[in-house]
Amino acid sequence: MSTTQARVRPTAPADPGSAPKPSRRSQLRVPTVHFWLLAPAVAVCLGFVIYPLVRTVYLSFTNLGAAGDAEAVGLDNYVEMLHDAAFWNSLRVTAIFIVVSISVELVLAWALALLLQGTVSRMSQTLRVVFAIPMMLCPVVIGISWRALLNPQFGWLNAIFGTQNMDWVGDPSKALWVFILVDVWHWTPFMFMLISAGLLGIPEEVREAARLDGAGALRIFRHITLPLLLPVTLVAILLRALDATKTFDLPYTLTGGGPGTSTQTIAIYLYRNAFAEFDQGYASAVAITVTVALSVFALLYLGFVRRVEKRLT
Amino acid sequence: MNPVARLSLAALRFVAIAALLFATLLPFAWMISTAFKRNSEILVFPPRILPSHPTLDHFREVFFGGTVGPYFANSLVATAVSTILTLALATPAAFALTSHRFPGDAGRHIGLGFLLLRFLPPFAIIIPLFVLMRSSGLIDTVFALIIVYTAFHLPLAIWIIQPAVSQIPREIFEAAAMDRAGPLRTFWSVILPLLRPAIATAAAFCMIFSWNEFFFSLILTTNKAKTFPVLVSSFVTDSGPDWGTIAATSLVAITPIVVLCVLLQRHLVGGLTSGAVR
Amino acid sequence: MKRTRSRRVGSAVLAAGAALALTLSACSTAGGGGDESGGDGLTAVFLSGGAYDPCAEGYAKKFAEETGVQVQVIHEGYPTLHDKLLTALSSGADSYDVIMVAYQWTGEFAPFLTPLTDKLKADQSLSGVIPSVSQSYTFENQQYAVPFSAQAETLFYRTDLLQKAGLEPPKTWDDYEKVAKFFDKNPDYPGVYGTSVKAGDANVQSAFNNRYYGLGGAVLGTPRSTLDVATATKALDLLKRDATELSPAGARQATFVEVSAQFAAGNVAMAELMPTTVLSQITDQTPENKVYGKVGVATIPGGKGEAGGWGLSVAKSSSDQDNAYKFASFMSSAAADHDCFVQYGKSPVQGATYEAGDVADKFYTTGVRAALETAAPRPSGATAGKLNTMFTDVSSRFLAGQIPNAAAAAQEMADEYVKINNGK
Repeated sequence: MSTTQARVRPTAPADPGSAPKPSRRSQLRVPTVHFWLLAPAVAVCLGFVIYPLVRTVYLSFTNLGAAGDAEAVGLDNYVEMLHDAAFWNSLRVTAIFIVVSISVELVLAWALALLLQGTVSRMSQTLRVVFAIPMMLCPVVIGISWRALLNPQFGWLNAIFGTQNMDWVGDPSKALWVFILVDVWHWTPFMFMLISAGLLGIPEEVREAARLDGAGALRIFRHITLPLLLPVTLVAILLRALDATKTFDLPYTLTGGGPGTSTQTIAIYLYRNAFAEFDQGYASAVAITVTVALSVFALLYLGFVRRVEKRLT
Repeated sequence: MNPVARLSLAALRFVAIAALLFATLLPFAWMISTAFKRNSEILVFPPRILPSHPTLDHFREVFFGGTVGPYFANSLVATAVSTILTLALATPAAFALTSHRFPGDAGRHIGLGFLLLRFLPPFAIIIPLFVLMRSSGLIDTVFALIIVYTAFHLPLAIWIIQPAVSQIPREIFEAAAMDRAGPLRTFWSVILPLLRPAIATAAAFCMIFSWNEFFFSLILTTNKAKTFPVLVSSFVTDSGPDWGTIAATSLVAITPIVVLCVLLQRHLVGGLTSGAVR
Repeated sequence: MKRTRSRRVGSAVLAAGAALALTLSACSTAGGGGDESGGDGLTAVFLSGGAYDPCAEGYAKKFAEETGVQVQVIHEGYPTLHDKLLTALSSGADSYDVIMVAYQWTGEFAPFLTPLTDKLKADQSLSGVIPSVSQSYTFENQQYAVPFSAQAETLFYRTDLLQKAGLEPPKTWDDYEKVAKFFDKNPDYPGVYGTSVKAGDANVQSAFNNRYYGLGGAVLGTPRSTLDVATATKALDLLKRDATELSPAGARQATFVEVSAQFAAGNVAMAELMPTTVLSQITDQTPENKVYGKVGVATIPGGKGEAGGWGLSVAKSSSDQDNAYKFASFMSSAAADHDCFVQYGKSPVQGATYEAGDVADKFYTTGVRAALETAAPRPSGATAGKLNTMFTDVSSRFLAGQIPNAAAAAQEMADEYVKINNGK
């Protein structure tokens, strides 16, 4: 959640730490200290993430079900997936969810950060802490609480706003938007923290200098604030997009994917196939497809961020 | 700025803050109110904000029903140990990846690999993971959760710490080399103290994610190792949610992490600022 | 040169991984050994719920006092119970000895459960269990569970309102519709809705089945059966009108607790419910119970509602089969059954409980029992998991307007039904 610079270029150019260099021979025989510093992390990921992932790839070519015996079925699962309307629906729901929720979160976070910018009183410090609370909460608790708050008859929201008998999560035309709204409630603080941290990091002299040159507030924003914070924003978008794709707990407890399939995200779709209907082979195929698509998207997006950064510097 | 603009900005600020405070605190108000209501008073129309006959029944059930103690301990152990493990593995790895050129460009590939792992959805590996845990007898142990959380949060932690390493000025490395300090000593006594803000940030995020994690805990535990989020979800019965118990348990479940994060708030933002801009 | 080196790196990483794995497995066996030292008790998983929790805890303690066998009771939430059990059982985990299963899971879970037919036949303490209830846990001529809780969709109606309006309790779904429409936005009955349907995902299938069975549809899930499209179309049409026009807002996410609360608050003229939750709110005279003494109980219109029920099964992987069965049987014995009903509201499975002195003359007893004895089950065979998910899914999508009309939804149901039930 910090810099973009090293994040998009994961390897630092220099090699400052390895001096004094061991001789070529010893490098060949004994792995370096650096190797041993890195190895445990790699090993844990290999054992408990990569190995299961490879198994999932294997399972995606089988028809593993509840009975526990898997037969190879070739590409059947993948073909079935492409023909399943529910799969495409869940992709559509997920896409809408990601695009809308992240856009709203961004706009709100930017607005808030700018609005609270410069107020460094004790009061605003306290407010910042309070506003950050939602992101610390458990999505299960959030989902259940909002479900109760939004209940058409017994919920507080309708009572407060006088919208008696308005159905929120039970109305298919509203459920997805409600889900997005609750996600916005949950994650705007995260975006807000990132962006206001970035704002705090811009030296006041820079803005002061611009002001002395006669630049208005808008121009300062456009030519100083925005370019300086663009990289952070872009990375925040990526982080949220990836986390949003995985979002399971919140829709599971808030709407359960319904009504109908109106809030059935890809994670819910997968869960239903894998654990309610127990088509684990099929679910594996979906999981692999989503993972590959996500990785490709992430790599392309990182390339885009890198180009934007280059143009800015 | 003219006075009118200044005033309207202040008004706007006030309205925004008020709206935000309302939205942020609303679920807490509901939880507190519901936790103290008798069951028969929770689903009434029109809804009541304050309980007319406050009761401690739900808290009594939570604290003395024999449920909360062990779950609290599970959540605590899983969160604390996995966070420490994650940082202990991630910090050296981030250091090695950034400061050393591995043969055959391996460092770059491994770095990218970690980056990609950050994108991996949990459901992509849950089925084999479950089988793996079962065959090693780890189902329903906190140990299984610790391993999974560590493996899953490692990429995140590396991602947070790596930029901080790369921002350490070259001169510091060179100075350490001049003192004939090996990489280990350089790491331990020179670099590590400089990474503190980034490590604190990584720790905070690992803790938040581990404490709140639901999916793995749901699948990998049956009873002894259940954590809070799973406990909360288990109060939904075949006839619907048991709101009172859910509210009381939720309050107990979120309090520690909120208190901790409020205490750590400075570090949360601190780690972000030091890395975010430049 | 380069290649050798990276291969070396690779193999070293592998070695490190292997070392780690070894350490872990060593730790795990140590940990496992420690866990076992707790004794030879049983582990029983129960569905959590206000009626089940105290009953399970209390009688597990009594069982331990009488037999010396300790039982550890686990409570699991309804939405996750099926998925968790199936995950654990199918992977061969031996986490549980006694498992509380819904009757509709019988066929799906049968490969992992111990057939209990012989033990049940020889068990005197269970001879009083209502036969149709026992029958619902039978799959391929073997019974897989001791019935623990049995109820059925039952019609609860307001005697005072119906009397004032000069209406009879509905005997058919067409009558039901008429009564519901009479109260709908009727200025003489302010604040009263005709009905309230629990059409959330957890219960929408019951609402559909009540109508399908009540309109004369044959029991679903039997081998080589089909779904009658005309009946299903009418059932879906009725369901949609009841849920979206005649119910209070929020029917598409409603469960038993909401509908029961609405009924107890006096806002609803009729509701189809299983007894447990609603009885706990309308039986005693409390400030929140606005319908005390004004409730009638009868079978679902058409005389046939959906059955509901939970049984206690013994896991095949359990190492203590005999005690596991003994515990299951103990939980449903006449004394436990009666006590758990009277004290906590668990729905009884023993006929004797309904005839007991403190139960027989209650206002609901006759109606509840009649509903139970006429009820028809949902599919419970090997493919029931998929069938029931399909019914829920199609009904829910139809109610949400994602399928344009009832005929199309019914057709989709029928097609999927044949595909799943009779194999492709």
